[in-house]
Amino acid sequence: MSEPIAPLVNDLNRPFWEAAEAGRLVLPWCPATTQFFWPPSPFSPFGAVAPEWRDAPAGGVLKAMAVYRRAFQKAFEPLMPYGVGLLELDAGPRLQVHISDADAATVGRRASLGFASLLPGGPKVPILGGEGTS
Amino acid sequence: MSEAGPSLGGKAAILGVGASRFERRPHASVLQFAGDALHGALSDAGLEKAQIDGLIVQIGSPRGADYDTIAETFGLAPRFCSQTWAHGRFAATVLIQAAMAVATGMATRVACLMAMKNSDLGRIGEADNPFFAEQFRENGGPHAEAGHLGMASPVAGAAMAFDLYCRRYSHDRELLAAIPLTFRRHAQLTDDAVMRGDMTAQDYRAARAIIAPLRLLDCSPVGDGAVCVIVGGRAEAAAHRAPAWITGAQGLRAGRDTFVFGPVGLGMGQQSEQRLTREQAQGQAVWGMAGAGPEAMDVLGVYDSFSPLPLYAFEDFGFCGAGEALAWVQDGRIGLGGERPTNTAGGQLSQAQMNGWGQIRELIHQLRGEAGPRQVKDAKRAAWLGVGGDALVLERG
Repeated sequence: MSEPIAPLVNDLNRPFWEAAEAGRLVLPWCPATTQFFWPPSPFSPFGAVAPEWRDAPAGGVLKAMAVYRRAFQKAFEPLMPYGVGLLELDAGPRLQVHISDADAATVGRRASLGFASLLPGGPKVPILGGEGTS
Repeated sequence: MSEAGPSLGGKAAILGVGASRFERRPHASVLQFAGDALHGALSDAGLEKAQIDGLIVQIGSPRGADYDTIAETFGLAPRFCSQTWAHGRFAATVLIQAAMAVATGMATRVACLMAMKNSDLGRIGEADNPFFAEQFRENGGPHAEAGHLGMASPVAGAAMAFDLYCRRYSHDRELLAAIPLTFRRHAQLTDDAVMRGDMTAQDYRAARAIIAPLRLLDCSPVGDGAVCVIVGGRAEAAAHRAPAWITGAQGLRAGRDTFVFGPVGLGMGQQSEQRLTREQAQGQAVWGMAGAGPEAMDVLGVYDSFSPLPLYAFEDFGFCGAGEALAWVQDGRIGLGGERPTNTAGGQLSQAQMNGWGQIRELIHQLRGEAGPRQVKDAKRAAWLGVGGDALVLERG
């Protein structure tokens, strides 16, 4: 059975994925409350206004991690054991990230959100980057 | 109970319950499981199928059968039908909807049916499972999946939340063993649990990791089966030999402060880090409607598709304080003979992964005094607790 692995990209979230390809983090920002938020919405969850996309600082803290010891997607089997983590950005939202070297990652430490292509020809997606406060 | 508050007291009761065998039978039809549960429930309630005028299905196609197929196949003619999505979580919500239907006269006797067959499918997250596409659902999968990051399967969200929980409260994750070990001992007292072999603390520690920190024995075994519960109104219950009254109910919650596999305010996703206080937890709507709190519950059923989930329910419903459940469940407290016997037929972890319906069936048996070697002496009140905030209080008629 075919196993297409790609994020769902549409008119609502396209700015995030286009910036990701360029290695930049942009997040939806609520002008009424001047807060970044996640996930993308046509109306700010903190009010009833249309958000803007803004560049966001990529620094944060890794809050939790889970490590794959069994593959569910065949495409990711060669990457095992890899982690998935919850990165709390200084900008406010928490985003999930791929962690290529789970042994080297320390939960509770400062880290940053980066972007990388995980699968051959695949789009760039959020990954755990090194320590940084950008 | 406030006079102005919602109430189901005296308006709805469970009249019958039935179940199929729990097994893995890939060449069976899901309708065979559904039929065994439906006819078992009818027989248990002393009803004919012509008396069923409401039908609510949890788990339709492709894992189960949809309400229209169920009604046509079994010759039912309901005038009130409903159906929830094809995942778990909705057991209490289905029963609440049935209770509201009979309380308002929309129906008099509602068959609530959960039937599913998984043995011919891959695991959720794999390409040969019909839910594969859900890991790419807009704004996150139903269990926080993010397939493009390699985050597939419900196990991942449960594992990440448990990692966060243990770090937040500086807990030794090995204490979690108390939950699967207790429920396995309960399952050994049934004749229908799929996992009845001995499980020792050593077995638990040695079990292979699936997605760390969760191991194989922290995950409920997926299989095939069905449970049917029939709900009726005041008149139907009054004529019944042993009704189990629905005296308290609380709906499933959602929103930015919730996480499917965590307590309110754990800090997963966009949740706050503001946990419920003990007072808030003991003031949950379900306790108010029932006019009885956690200390009055003789036996509990808790959603346990993964072994950490009961911890969060015990905390959010006020059995112990936030962050205290891992210590609270030790030393036999949730076992038969303990202070708060829980999942006395083995739960999803050992009896069968029936999305919580197995626990509800067991609570009915407990309230009727029909739980055999698992019977909690003089069980009068039982509670169902879902990690999603859904809850029921059932009382012996």
